[in-house]
Amino acid sequence: MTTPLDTSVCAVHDGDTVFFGGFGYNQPFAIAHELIRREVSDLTVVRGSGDILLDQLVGAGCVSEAVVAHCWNAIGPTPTHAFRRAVESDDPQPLAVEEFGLGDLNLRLFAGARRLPFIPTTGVVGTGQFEHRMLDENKFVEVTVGDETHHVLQPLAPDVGFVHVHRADESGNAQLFGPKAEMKYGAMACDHLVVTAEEIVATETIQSAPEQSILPAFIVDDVVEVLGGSHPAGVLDYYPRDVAYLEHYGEATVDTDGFEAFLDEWVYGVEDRSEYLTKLEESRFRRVPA
Amino acid sequence: MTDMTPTEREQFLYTVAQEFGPDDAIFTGFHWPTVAARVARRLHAPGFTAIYEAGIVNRGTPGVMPTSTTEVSAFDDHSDMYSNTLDSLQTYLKSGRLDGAVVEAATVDRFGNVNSTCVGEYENPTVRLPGPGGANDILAYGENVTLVNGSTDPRRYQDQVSYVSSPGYLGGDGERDASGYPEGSGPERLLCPLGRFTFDDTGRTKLDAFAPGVDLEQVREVTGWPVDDGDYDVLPRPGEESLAILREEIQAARDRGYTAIKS
Repeated sequence: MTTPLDTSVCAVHDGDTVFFGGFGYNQPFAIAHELIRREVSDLTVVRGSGDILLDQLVGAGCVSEAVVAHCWNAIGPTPTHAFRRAVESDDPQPLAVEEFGLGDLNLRLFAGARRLPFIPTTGVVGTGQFEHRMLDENKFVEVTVGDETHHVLQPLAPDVGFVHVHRADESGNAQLFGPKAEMKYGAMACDHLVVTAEEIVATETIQSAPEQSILPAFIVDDVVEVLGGSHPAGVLDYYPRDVAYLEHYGEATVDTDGFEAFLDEWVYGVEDRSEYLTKLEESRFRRVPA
Repeated sequence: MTDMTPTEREQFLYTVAQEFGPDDAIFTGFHWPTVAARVARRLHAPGFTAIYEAGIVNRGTPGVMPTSTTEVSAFDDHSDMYSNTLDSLQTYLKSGRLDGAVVEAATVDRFGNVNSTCVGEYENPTVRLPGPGGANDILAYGENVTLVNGSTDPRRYQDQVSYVSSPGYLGGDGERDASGYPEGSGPERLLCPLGRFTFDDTGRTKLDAFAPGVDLEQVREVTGWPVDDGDYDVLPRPGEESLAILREEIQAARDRGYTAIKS
């Protein structure tokens, strides 16, 4: 049974730690926009790369903490201006960023998915991530094994996770084409997992290519059908990254007024992703699906 | 008659492209390395293996200039394997089986440390930059790492960065080795529009070669680093055919929104 998108987001409560999967591609923008419309607040967002998805949540006032390796607009590349404003000037509110290298962030999710008490890492001493601890004093903990000292990371198990895939069946078996980035481990680390899919397909289709599955149904709590759910990020073979839109975003959101105008137009000004896609169709940007 | 003298940018891109050998497997970072990789394929290394941090192992010329390393559609035609970030950053880099890594170093210091996180205090920065992404792993675990800095702004070359997003030789004098990093890992060279630096036994930068037309005074002025007098090699210039290809690729990057190349 699939779940409507506006029901699936009810899993998120103010103050939750939320994982948004995707790494420049397959990003759950439809979900993020619904959360913005609902004015969720005080979230701790976990992502490998924050991208403009985190930028939008931050600028909309939904986020108080972020656990990320990186945050920018890949086109340019251009700064994610709302992210910068929050960290530099507490606009619209303070944002505490716990920075990890991307590998270590992946290790934390790997450990979270496996209920490990900690996971070791090696190349950390002397880095800024090692020396600055915003959210947790135990960010890196020194341990002794025999006569050697090592450092270990805490597991990371977010309350809720959203992962956008190419296709899934009604049970929630989820298939994603292309590289997986952090999505498999991140998804499996979450207490409550929502999969959004471009299309819902028959079980026979899933079973004709089980090697494409990244999540089995028993791990997935809700499966939501949302065509175009990743725009402006791309979905391999389904639609490309919308370079013009991302370039426009980078220019339009340089200041707070521009950011708010952008959200008014593309998030608050539409009821759901279907209306967003209609608006996109009528705009100078890409058609989705292509 | 087209001008056959390469601009600074054309020369720089040509220099970076030389790091990709025809039979090499190279971990390829975003921005200049991604552009240079496509140049390298068109010039002399069409079949080199590129590893990207989303989990892409790729061995062919993308049909379009990728906007970044996560624009998967650009790599889809010629990828040998798709896996994940943990494999790319925490397995392949540590395997000892890559020939090198080429990674952006937007602000670099004398010890090869990179700051891509903040200007000012981390907790309260004047400017919050993007953060390390996968570059942290590349410098921590990669072998034969080439740092790439496309700027001639002196602020991008420092004595010691205030925040180490991605670790080079830390404070030098053996500090990196004493801090648990794998033996043989770390930056081997820095390429910039002024030329090529290597790292001496203490982990400090050492001028190795000039870019054509550059002199010692310019190197000292831009980097602020102590550079000995002496005779230095000059990096090779692109020939006519190569220059034509470089110009096409620069235009392609411009068309795909690369800000540093648009200006």
